[in-house]
Amino acid sequence: MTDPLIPHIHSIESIQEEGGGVLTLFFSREGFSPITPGQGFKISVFGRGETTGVVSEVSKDCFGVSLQDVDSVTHRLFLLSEGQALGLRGPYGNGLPTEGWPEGKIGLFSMDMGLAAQRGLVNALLAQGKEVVITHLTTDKENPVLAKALEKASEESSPIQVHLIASKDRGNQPWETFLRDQIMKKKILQGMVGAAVGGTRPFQKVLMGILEKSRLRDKDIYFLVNRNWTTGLGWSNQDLLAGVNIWTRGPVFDLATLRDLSEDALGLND
Amino acid sequence: MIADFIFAKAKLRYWLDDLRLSQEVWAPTGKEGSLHFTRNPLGEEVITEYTNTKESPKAIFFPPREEIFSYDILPDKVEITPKPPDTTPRVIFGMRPPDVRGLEIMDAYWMGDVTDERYKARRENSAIICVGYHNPPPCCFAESVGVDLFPEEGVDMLLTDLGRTYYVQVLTERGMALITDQFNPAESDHREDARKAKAGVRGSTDQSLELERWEEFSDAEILALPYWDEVYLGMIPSAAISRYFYSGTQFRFIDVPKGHQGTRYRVWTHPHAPGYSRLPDGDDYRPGMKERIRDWLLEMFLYFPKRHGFLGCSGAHRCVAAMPTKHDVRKIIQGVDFG
Repeated sequence: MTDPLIPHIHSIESIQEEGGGVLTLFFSREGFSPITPGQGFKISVFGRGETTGVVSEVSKDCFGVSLQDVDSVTHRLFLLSEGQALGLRGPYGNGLPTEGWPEGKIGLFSMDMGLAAQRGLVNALLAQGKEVVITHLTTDKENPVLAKALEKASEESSPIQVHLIASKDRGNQPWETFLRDQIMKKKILQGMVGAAVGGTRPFQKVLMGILEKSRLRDKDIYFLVNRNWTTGLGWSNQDLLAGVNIWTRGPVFDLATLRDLSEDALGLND
Repeated sequence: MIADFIFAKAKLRYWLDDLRLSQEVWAPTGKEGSLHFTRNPLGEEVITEYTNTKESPKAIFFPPREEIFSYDILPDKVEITPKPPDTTPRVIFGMRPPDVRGLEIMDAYWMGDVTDERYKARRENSAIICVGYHNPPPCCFAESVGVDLFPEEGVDMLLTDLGRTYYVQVLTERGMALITDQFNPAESDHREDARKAKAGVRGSTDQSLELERWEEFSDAEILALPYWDEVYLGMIPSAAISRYFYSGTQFRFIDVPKGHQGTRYRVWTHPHAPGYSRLPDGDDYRPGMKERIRDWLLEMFLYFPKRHGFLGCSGAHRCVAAMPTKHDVRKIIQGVDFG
């Protein structure tokens, strides 16, 4: 029987530095079951340990896993080069839906690293003729996370509409007021029929409040809930979210499910 | 029940010494108040008069540090050598009924949708000899969480203390294989004595936790109770929580390198460990004692029962007797203020 704790060795096909301390490692899809943006991988650097990466790009032959430079394991990953071997466990979780979106404008709301998984969704949405609007909150306007992807999406020739919001423009306003004002002022919700949200828990909490009051249907609003997970197998409490194994039912939940699951999921009661 | 016997406590040391020749034996040793399960103790060291061990026996099945694999980084590849599951035959003598429930709780985590072969191998190769709870201390609330003080399920052999002897119920073939000629066939008087001993203590640990009150409220309402704002006050974060409790399997992985080679271990951790709930983006979704204690309690009494149909608390009263500061689950749950 395959031991789920044993990583499989894979060579890095290519590496892309994304800016803002984010790296994307590309691997061949050979030997993997279907992979979807938003799923998670545990990445082993032998001698250092494991870190977590999110599937951020999927093509016919390869997929990319993005991660932020936050600890000794990720520091080491930034020093690796193409062709070197890594251990991978995964993919875990359901990921963002690439099909089944309603016809019309789809909004992708993200804060910093939350954009990574959504990036993988963009191509799928564009291929289906959807209009895509990215609203990205960055804590560092000069060097935003995934700067290169944002730059590309913001090019004039790009079919994607991008709204970049700098958190330092908030001043003393509460987050909810600031984000609501930004979204309303730019009429971002106008004509929107579906949305995906990724980012920190407070960011998601605010967006939940805003989107809940919009005309969008609950089942067309998706949240990628982030947790400090250990196994992806439900063996550790860290895999559990309000008692549910986040990696069998999530980490992507629609608003209706999330509300039923527990309001704790987004820390609404904190 | 397959068979029943009478066994003299005075013979216990010889029996355990004999068992130790063919398998690993774990049994309680030490002094009351600091008893713990010891691997392969001498028969004469094993304690028979005790309430329960301070440490839970969960480490026998889920060790604090467990090798997962070793690796060797070669010039052109990485070789991984998995550590095979531990199939050592074991006998666990002297487990008390709340700890038998504790194993059921661990089974739910480790042998649920996905099975941990390491845990499973230890479970399947261990014979559980339970000493029925004829002497629970006043703070024990085992029956309040559904524990049978003389369980006939989940154990291979059930011993009922009759003073100088044990009334032995053999419940599985594995238990039967442990019987030697030092065991004498039980007679009707012994069975009657055991029945009376059981009847005399049953019900004594049923301190109602009033859990039926929870059914009137939704998860979100329970989660939002102001009660959680104060219940953690006075508690001091302690890693001991990982040693005493079954519900809450917290672990992480560490690599121990030696040059180009090394070993990956799974090690225990706990909800109070630094970085436990901190995300790479800096957000901490369980930032303080309030959230961590609330999460721990709700996992035992709200979420775990919904997933598995029984409470995630073993009722072993280590929260009262062993934790360094107040963690009295019994009183905390009894005192939940629904407003």
